Amino acid sequence: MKPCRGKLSLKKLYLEYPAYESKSLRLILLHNYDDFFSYIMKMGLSVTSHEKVVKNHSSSSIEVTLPTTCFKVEFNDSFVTISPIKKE
Amino acid sequence: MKWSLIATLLFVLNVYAVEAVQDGNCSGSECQKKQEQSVQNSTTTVNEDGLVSVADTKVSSTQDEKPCVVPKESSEDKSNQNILKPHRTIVISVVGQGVAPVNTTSPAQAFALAKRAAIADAYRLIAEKVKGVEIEGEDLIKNMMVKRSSVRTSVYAMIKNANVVETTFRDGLCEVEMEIRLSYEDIMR
Repeated sequence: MKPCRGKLSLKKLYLEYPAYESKSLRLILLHNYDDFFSYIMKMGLSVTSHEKVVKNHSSSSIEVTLPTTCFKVEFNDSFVTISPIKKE
Repeated sequence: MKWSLIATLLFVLNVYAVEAVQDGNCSGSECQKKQEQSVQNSTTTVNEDGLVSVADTKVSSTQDEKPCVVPKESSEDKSNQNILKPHRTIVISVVGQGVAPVNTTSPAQAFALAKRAAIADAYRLIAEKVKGVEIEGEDLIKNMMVKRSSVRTSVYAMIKNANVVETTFRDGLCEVEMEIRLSYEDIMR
């Protein structure tokens, strides 16, 4: 892993988690999946769509890709603060 | 006597051709080319009997060519005018649809998956509206009959700050209303 350098964004996300659970970021994100997904979607999403119609048979695919982003994560007693790092 | 008349007529016609080209709205090298072309036409098509045909070819060659006037503003330039203007916001609203898969373990999972598909569909619709769609069509015709017809569409875009306004789920179909606000200041930042 390479260290990320840049400016911290002001748009922070606070995710709650029970104090007795382990401080695993993956588990915390899974626990608050919808909040994190809607938060990261607003930061930017790449959409690639393909649709093909051959002999009146239609097939389509939509790919939604989250761009690689660095985050600063602060663990507290009962919540986690996540703020993206903007590259300079 | 006859040949001297022909020679004078030829000279007069050449002068007329040069004047006719100079009267047109052309300039520079193109104008020079036209002059050369008209003079060549007048001299090469001369035969012993048909002097009248010489004059016809000259006049038609100068009349058929359009005047080379530089257009001031074409229709393409008008269509490329800025849609976004300072201190104005455009709201684009779409409704994306998603269907839950058949083999789900619970209604909650079906809803979650259908919603995710609906969001992706809404993003695609926004991308199509904002950026446009590439369309590729191909028809194969043999013996005057269509053997194969295919249409492919594709779009690629990066979308930021889209908001989910409303979500409805009924009969396995999830509809997500999504909107994005485009402002001149945000884009030019």
